Amino acid sequence: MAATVLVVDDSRAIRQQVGDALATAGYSILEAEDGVQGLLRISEQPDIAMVICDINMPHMNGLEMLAKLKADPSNAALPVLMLTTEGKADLIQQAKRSGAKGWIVKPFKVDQLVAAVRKIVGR
Amino acid sequence: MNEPIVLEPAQAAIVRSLTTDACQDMFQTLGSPVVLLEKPGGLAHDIAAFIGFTGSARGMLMISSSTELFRSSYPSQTGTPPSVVDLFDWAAEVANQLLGRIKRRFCERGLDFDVSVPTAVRGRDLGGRSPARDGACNLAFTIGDQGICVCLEVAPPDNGRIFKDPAEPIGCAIEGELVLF
Repeated sequence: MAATVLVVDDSRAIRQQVGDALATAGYSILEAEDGVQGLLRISEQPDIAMVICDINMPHMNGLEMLAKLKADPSNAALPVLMLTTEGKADLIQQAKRSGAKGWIVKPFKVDQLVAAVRKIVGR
Repeated sequence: MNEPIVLEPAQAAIVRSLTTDACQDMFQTLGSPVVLLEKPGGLAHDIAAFIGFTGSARGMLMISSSTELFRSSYPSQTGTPPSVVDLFDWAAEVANQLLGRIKRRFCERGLDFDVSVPTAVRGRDLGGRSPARDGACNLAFTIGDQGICVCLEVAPPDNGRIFKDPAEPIGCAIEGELVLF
């Protein structure tokens, strides 16, 4: 069965770009438009294998979502990869301390993204 | 009446240089050769995207171009034609990614800011602000056979200087960089 990846980004174009790349690589895709919707999807779909998450989003940004996700023991092991235009070292360190698995600065290369997802999900 | 505060000419030149470099870097990812035009304006654009920033520097970035540019550069692997809503969304994302590049270049000069959520609108004759606001950095490029205008407005502090000299660079990852923990 295909592993399911949740893509959280307020840009529909980016969700589509990431979704197309990972669907072609054999993954199932779920989408959310912001951190609030992302946490809702995770609570509704226990079989999500990984989350790819933007930072600058309305309602709840990606770092807030990451912190809330990791504070919930039932989701603490769910791997999260940040995908954002932000590249500041202190934000990357903050994400690492909060439990993220990695960070990509947009724009991403499809091969690079798929390889990172394979490494993190393990399939 | 008090004179409006503007950036010092040397500081404005740095802003222009960094913005031009960021634009050329960003726009070449849209798939066609990029050329900086000598004079901005006069381009009948119908989509504009805006994004604000605040922090050590405050201001706003606006880009405008044609529907055709955003349609032809839309990142779809499936070949499905983008809807008008998709094109607005993509224009906003291009502004977001461009400001990310400008931010990294500002950080190299010790200046940081926080970025807002972008938005896009449709209209007529959106090619650049006329007359240009004092101190705004107005640029125009062609990407293939389409034009794109960029306006970066930075609110100047009272002393007209946003960059310190010397400045301590703020560490940043570059575009496309992957860091696994």
